[in-house]
Amino acid sequence: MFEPNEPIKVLALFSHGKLTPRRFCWQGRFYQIDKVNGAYKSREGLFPIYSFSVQSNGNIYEIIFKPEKMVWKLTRVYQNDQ
Amino acid sequence: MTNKFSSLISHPSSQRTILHLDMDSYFASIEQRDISVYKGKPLLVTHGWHPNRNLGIVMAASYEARPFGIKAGTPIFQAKKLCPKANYVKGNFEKYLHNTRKIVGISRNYSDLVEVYSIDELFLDITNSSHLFGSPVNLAKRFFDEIKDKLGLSCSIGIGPNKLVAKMAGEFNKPRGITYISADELPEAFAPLPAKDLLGVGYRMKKHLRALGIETVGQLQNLSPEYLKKRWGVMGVVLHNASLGIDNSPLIPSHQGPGPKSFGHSSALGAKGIKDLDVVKKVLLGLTEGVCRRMRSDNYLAKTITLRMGLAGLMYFSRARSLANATDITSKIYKTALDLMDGQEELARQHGVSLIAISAGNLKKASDGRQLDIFGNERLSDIDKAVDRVKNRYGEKAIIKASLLGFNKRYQGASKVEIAEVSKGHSSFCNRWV
Repeated sequence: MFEPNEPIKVLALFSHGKLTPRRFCWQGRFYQIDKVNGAYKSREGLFPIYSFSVQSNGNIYEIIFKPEKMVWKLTRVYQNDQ
Repeated sequence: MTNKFSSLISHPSSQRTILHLDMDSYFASIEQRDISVYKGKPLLVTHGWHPNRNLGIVMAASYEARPFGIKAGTPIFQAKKLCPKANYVKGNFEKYLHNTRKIVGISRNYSDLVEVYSIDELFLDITNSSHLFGSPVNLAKRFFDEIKDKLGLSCSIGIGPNKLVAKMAGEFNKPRGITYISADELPEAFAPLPAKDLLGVGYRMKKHLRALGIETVGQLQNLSPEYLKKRWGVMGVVLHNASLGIDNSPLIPSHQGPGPKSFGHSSALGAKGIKDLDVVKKVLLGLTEGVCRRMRSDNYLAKTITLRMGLAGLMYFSRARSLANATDITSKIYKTALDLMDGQEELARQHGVSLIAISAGNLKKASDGRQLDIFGNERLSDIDKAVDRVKNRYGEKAIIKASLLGFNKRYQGASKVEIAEVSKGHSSFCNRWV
């Protein structure tokens, strides 16, 4: 596991009151999201943070969305070989 | 006793059907679902994790880790020896609470009387709803499947005529089991069980029972309640009733649960302990900040402050002091805690402090009024309120005491996440956060 904590670009679907990330770009490379394993909403003070644990090509990526800043970040990466 | 909600409380009766839901290896299962690379592997959930540190304990172990002898409460240094290849993940209580809220939401499809017993346990009174599903077991199967489908988590379910039997039944068939013990099967269903497995039998009682040659619940059932009462007082009667599957406790829906009796935070500082008292005092300040913030947030004042310290390899001690007036002011409670440390500094320096805990008890509601002070405590209270406002708006890390700057984040005051951890297992926490 490592923690890049880097901004990423995300293609996401906002539908029926639900936010679903579909694809993201990290360090110039695109990652297709095969499955959203888990998602939850937390708060930093008044501001919500949406966290997702997504699967791409066997690896797990934890990404967060901060709506007040409209930014996505990649926080953790778990590789399948461990 | 009656109150305005009394009609909603599930009162004991011979015809009750109670369901107890216990999530299987809850924290570890959530992490294995979200971080699927850990599926089928030994996974340990800890408070904080750093590969080179051995501090703290295991909060939850996946089923794959249990054959190695690791369970909740195992110290990390020991877990590393027992299973060097185990994977570790830092516990995320906001995530676990999110899942608990979802489970509580699902449970409302099966009963309107739901008691949130802890972050991973619920009681449901299904007396009046089980017929809608055909039988209590059919209801349990639907409930089990819905949790599995919607959350990808498994649970164990026990059903019985009261809370005690339902909870015990759930233990019969873990993980992923459904067990129904009807009133007709009691007390015979409990008779072959080891006495130590009976609810209410802790470490000490287990030793007492063994000394009397009591190994099974059946043996306990055969003892006269008078004898047990003479030997262990009220506890003896409770024990005898439990052995027969008798439990008259009502199921109390979460919004009617009792208020907290105390607020407390603690921190393990490693088996070898910390000998630098400045560091220990900083940890204590962080813990005190967390306790006071929770009290202010829940609108409570405390009159009695208790400090508990563990000296590595030597002893644990606990000291308490009651204040003249109940308070929620951080600096006042911290000063009291420091006073309680007095006289132990030399021992602490020699042996190292392995555990420090503070709790504030003897609570009263702040809305019931607080003693005004002419010596400046009003100003201290205003400072705390201003800090709370900043934290409420920008988050727990937005403002911290200058003396804690650069100090381990874990000790910089409690967030809601830590609150959940500290309160795990207590219904007061559930009432507040779920």
